[in-house]
Parts: sequence; C-alpha cells; structure tokens
Amino acid sequence: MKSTQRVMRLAFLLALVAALLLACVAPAATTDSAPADDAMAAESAESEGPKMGGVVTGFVSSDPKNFDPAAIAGWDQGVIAPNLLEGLFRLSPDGREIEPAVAESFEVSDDGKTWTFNLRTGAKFHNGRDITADDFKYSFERVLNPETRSPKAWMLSIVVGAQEFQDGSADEVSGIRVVDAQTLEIELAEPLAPFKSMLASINLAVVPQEEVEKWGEDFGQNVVSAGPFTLGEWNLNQDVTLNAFEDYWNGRPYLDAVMFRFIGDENTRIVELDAGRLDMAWVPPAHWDRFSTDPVYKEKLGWAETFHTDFIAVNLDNEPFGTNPKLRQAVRYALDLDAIIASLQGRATVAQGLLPPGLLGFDEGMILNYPTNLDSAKALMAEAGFADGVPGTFDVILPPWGNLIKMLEIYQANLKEIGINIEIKPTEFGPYMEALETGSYDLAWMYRVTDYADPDGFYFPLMHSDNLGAGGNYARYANADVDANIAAARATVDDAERTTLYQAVDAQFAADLPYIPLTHNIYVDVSTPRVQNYVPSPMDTHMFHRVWVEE
Amino acid sequence: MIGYVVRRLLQFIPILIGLVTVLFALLNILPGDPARMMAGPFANPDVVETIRQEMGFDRPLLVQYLDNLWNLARGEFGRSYQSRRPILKDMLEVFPKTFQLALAAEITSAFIGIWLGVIAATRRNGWADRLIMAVAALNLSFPLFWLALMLQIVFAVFLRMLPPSGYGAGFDRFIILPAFTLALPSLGLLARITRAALLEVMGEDYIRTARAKGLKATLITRRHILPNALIPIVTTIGTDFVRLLGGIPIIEVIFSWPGIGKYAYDALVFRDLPALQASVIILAVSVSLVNLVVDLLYAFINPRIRYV
Repeated sequence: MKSTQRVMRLAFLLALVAALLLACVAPAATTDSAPADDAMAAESAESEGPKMGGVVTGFVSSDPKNFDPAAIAGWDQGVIAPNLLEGLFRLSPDGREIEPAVAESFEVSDDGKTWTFNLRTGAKFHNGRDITADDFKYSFERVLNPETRSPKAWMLSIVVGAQEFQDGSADEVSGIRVVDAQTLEIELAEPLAPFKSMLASINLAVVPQEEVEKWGEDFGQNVVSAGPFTLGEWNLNQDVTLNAFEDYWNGRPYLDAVMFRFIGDENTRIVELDAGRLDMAWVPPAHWDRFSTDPVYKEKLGWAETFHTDFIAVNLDNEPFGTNPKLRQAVRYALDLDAIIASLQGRATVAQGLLPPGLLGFDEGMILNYPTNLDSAKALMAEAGFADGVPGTFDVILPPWGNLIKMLEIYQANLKEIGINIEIKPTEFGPYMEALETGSYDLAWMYRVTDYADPDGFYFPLMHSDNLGAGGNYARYANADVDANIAAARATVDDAERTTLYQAVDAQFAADLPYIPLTHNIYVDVSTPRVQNYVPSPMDTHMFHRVWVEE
Repeated sequence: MIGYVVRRLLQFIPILIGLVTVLFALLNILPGDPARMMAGPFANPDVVETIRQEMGFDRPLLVQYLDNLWNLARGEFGRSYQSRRPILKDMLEVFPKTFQLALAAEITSAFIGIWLGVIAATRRNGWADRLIMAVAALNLSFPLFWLALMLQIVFAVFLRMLPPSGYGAGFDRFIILPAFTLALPSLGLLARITRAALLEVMGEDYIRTARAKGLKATLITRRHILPNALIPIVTTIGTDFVRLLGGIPIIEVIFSWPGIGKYAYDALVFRDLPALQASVIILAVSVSLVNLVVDLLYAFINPRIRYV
C-alpha cells in the first residue's frame, strides 16, 4: 500500500517536471520544424501564376462596428473598408497610386473648377444594380447632409452649393450635376488639385439609395457599395467575412473570401499564426528577431513606408522656442533620431521634413538635412543667445500612449545635453487637442497621417495661415509666400508645377522649422507562405483584390 | 420567502439609478469627448461641433441626464455612439458569451478546487496536503496574462490540440483554454477555503462520534463533514462567479473572446455612454441576482436559516 503510493507520487512528480520542460522547449521546437515544410511550398508557389479560390484570414485589433462610408473615421475600419467600398477613384493595391474606379475617365475644365466624370458601363453595386451618375449625387449629398453626421463632410465643402445645402437653404447641391446616366459633373468653388485623392477616399464611396433607406440606422452593418468584396457574415467582436464580388468591374478577386478576425492582443496574433489559424500578423517588437531571421518568414515580411510623420509642434506665439528659429534648429540637431530608430528595430526612417517619402514633391535633395550633431546644436544655441542653456523647464504634451513616453525619454536626455529641460506631459486626448487648438502649449509631440494621398494633406492644414489654430496649423505659422505657394499648388493640376511649388514650401519650412520633424513609421507585418501577392499599403489599408493563395 | 425575494428585487431600482448617475457624472467629469472620437483624430473643430449638435451633446447636462434616465425607464438602451447599432442587440450577443465563459470557469474551479481541498483536509499535514497548498498559493500569484500565453503556446502551438483563441458556439474546444486560465486562481482559493472549512468541522464532537461508531472515512467526509462545511464554500463560489461575470477584459482580449468585458472596455475608451451604461446595468443586475441566489442557497444548506 505504502509503496504503491510512493510510486504514484514519483510518477506525478516526473509528469510535472516533464510538463515544465515541454513548456520551455515548445516555442523553439515550432520555429524550427514548421517553417521547414513551408519553405518548399513557398518555392513551388513562385513558379506559378494566380489561382482562383481559397480564403485568407487577416486581422484587425478590434471590431470596426460600422462600414457606412459616411461614418468611417477609425483605423480598424480603414484597414478593411477599401475592399468593400469604392467610388469614382481607388488606391492601387500598394496604396501609392490613384486609379480610376467607377469613373472610367475624367476631364477638368481649363479653369480647374468643373470636373466631368465618365462612368464605366457595367459597374455594379453589390446588389446587382448598375451604378449611375444619380447614385453619386445621392451619395455625396448624403455625406454633406448634417443629419448623416459624417466626420468627412469637409471633403466636399468646396463644391458649389454645398454650404447652402448644409444650412438648409437649398434641397440639393447645385454643383453636383447629373448630365446623363453615365456622366457626372462636379463644379468646385475654387480649383483644387487634391480633390482627385479625396474622391479616392473610402468616405466618398458610392452607395445605393434603396439599400440605405431599407436598412436605415443599420446600414453600417449591412453596407452595400461597389468594392471588389461584399459584406458577409459578421460576428460582433469576433470576426467579419468579406466574399468575392462576382460582378466587380475589374474582375472578381482571386480569393473566394477574406476573413478578418478581431484580435487585440499582439502576442495572441503570433500564437494564432503559429497555430496555422491566421495568415498575417503585425510583427510585435518581441518577435522581430525571430521573423526577420527566419529563412521562410523573412521573405514573407510586408513593408510599408507609411504616409505618417511624427514631429514636435512648436507654438510660435510663445517664447523662447516659438520666437527663435535657431533654437528650434538646435533642438533638431540635438535629437538622436538614429537611436530612436534603433529602438524601433529599424522600423522607421528619419523625417527630413513634413512629407513622407512617396508623396508628390518629396525630393531628398531639396529637403532639410540636420544630421544628429551636438557641436552644431551647441553652436546654434550660442547663436540663438542661449550658450549656457535655456533657463526653465518646458512641457511637451502628448497623447497618453505608453510606448510614446519611452521615446520622449530619449529626446529628453538628448536635449538635456544642450541645456534644454523638457518635461513629458501625457495628456488625455480631448484636453490635448484643446491645448493644440487654443494654443495653450509650448511644445507638443504630434503625428499626422493624410486623409488623402496628396502632399496637400500635410501642408494645407499644418502650414497655411487660413488654418491657423484650430484648423490644424497648431504651430500658428504664417508666411505669405508659403500661403501663396500652397494655394497655387492646390489650384494646379500639373504635377511638375506642383512639385516645384511644394519644394519652395519645403525650403522655407527648413529655414523656419515651425514643426521639428522626427520620424516616419514603417509598418511591417508577416504573412504565412500560402499568401501570395499581398502588400501592406502606406495608407494603412490591406487590399485583397489581387491576393491569391498557393497551398 | 417570496416577500423577501420581491423586496430584494425592488432594491435593485435605487441601486441602478445610483449607478447610472455616477456613470453619467464620471463620463462628464473625465476628460474625453465622444464627438471628438466620432470625428477621428485631428479633425477640424467645426466637424466636431456639428457632430456635437446632431448628437445633442450641446444641451445642458441636466437635460441630457434626465433624457437618458427617461429613456432607460422606458427600457430603451439607445444606440451606440460608435457603431450606431441598437445596444440591446449588442448586449444579447455579448453577455451570454461572458456568462458562458464564467460558468465554464466556475464549474471547473468548483469541481477541482473542492476535490483538492477535501484531499488536503483529509490528509492534513501530509505530503499531498503540502503540495496542494503550495500549488494553490503559487497559482493565486500567477499573472493571468502569463498563464494564458503559456497555455496557448503549449496546447495550441506545440501540441496543436486546442485553438489558441477565438469563439465557437456551445461548450466546445474554444472555451477550454480561457475557462481553465480563469479557473486556476479561483480553484487555488477554493481549495484553501474548502480545506479550512473542512478542518473546522472535523474538529467537531459529532465527527468524533461518527468515527467512534466505526463509520467509513469516505462516508464521514461525504455525509457529515462536507454538508456542514458548505456555507463558506458556496460564499466563495458566489463571489468568485461575480468576479468572473465582470468579464475579465484582459482574458477576453488575450483569447479574443467576444464578451461583455471587452465590449465595455471599448465603450469606455470611446466615451460611448449608452453602450457603457447598458453593460454596467446588465452586470449590476446579474451580480445582484447571483448574490440573491447565493443567499437563498444558504437556506437550503442550513435549514436553520430562514428568510421572511
């Protein structure tokens, strides 16, 4: 009796030890074995072309809850929505070009104010009905209608008659005209080159009136539009499936469906990927070494230099940083941006200006180049009249996001070396925005992502004096030449001319430095070897129209 | 008895009004603005203002508060600011899933915890007792997210026996890992409580009498010790179940479990008052109901307890 008990205990103890060992060995074992079989799959895939069928499982961090183009403002919505929603134009799969979508072609009048769109015959809504010019008039007026509460109504505010429609003195927008079923004409109050990029925005996608009216407030969960996928099964807080749209004007997607799972925890995504239940995941810092060195996965990393710029906004009304450009230049020289980029595992690039690479007007030769250099910084401090440092401590406000604070600590140490003391002040988003809008701040960490793929999305709000203060020019920067150049670039459709104008703005920016540029983000995700032809885009969208799978 | 239950149910009403009031006050005191969240980051203040007017956020706070209370009194939870979906529909989807997970975790922890407690008590100061109590103390102090990750790696990635996260209808494979993660700390606690309660009863005279008249040890445990030790055990299970009903957002996030904890957390981040308040009301009612059931159970366990 006693002896059997002892044997049992021993066995139990051994089992416990074995379980612990198993737990330790487990992660290493999978990295070695699983990709080995996958490597062969990846090789054979490259030799063959696209294949029809299959399902890819992607992710977003939380339930997007609503795909009504008039309501979309969040990141999780924007990642998925371009697969469902489409209007006159669309972004190319890599997100860098604007392509015609339902508009087959368009002309702009000589004065740049009247845009005429020739719609594609055979472009259909997900419910099978042909899309006509009336549908665009309906969709755009719906976005402008205050009752719709669209956060992006401003994109259309430049259309003639938009104001009258919004304040109720007109029951239609006189500048949106249906010439015939296939021809739409939009008249703008002023010429506006970036209008084309705005028309490629998911917020200005076309929707059928009968479906909007049928679903009422529930349209966002039952959206019908014109993108390459249709909305399928949606499980709250769990996943949403998009099905291939057979009648898409540019051919149905290769995939039968894409499922987006809502997984908020970054480690869970990696575990799901390893368990073979997820096809792609953002690469968290802790897993960077593994994926960037793994022979199979390092080929399956998707890189996107995003249209995203981090910078420090300086309130130009306040002494001493706002009134002394030399001091701002000294700050930029003192910041060790390479150290920041190293801490981000190389997933960022140094920002040399406001414009991220890839946008019109970005030119490496023309932009400011302030390499990290303490001697230059100290020399500029002396020139600025602060050879012994700036007395006092200055608050840098920022939204309360954890990883940001760590980066700001590096900047804080950098600036201490040239005698500038900053205090990091994480601030709840509402009060943070109010401080920026009302100008009750000295220095603010900020970022900007464009709503539309055009340099105007950076320069117009941040640098034009029309937007001083609450309009987005939080630095309160005003320069007549810069205003004129930005306005001229808005009104010109010729890309070469716009490039020249923006480079003139850049040059002035480098001298004045109302915003101290920091970094541009690089988004990196990893996908399983079966996923082919997938690229993440700089606009934070994941397009699946031309993705296929190779088993 | 019925009178008692009715009185307890009526007590819910002032509790709920108080909760709604506190929540409304908190959301208006805390920095943050739903109109800004709806407009998206760095939106133009004109856009924010239009949304604020359309949503009625520009009305006096008292009007907004009374309006909100009146809607609730008519049983209308309203629509979420974030999704524009009817909240009642959301609640019917998310709450049952949290309830299901909490129930699975509680059943697991009750069975294993009581069983371990009984073993520990009956072999007091023996080898098994010491091991069980050590493990119980250890798993009480594990961080849940670490435990969750370890279970995911072992069972989903290495052994490929279970899915690492997600939801499936019914009590199927998806529930095993999250339920077990939630059950581990509770079962440690329950094992300790069970052991203590049992030891106290075991010292009673009637147990010595039962032993003296030669009853089998297992029979004494089942028939005489356990029933008399049940009250603290049931209380622990009740409070623990209430804790699990709260949804444990972190576990729901790690295991992508589409329950009410994560839903309420998202609503708080978005300052989505109707969604948050509906979640809190549902939780408060269910917590009160569980407490009521536990109180009523006492009367069954110990016939000397009566409710009038």
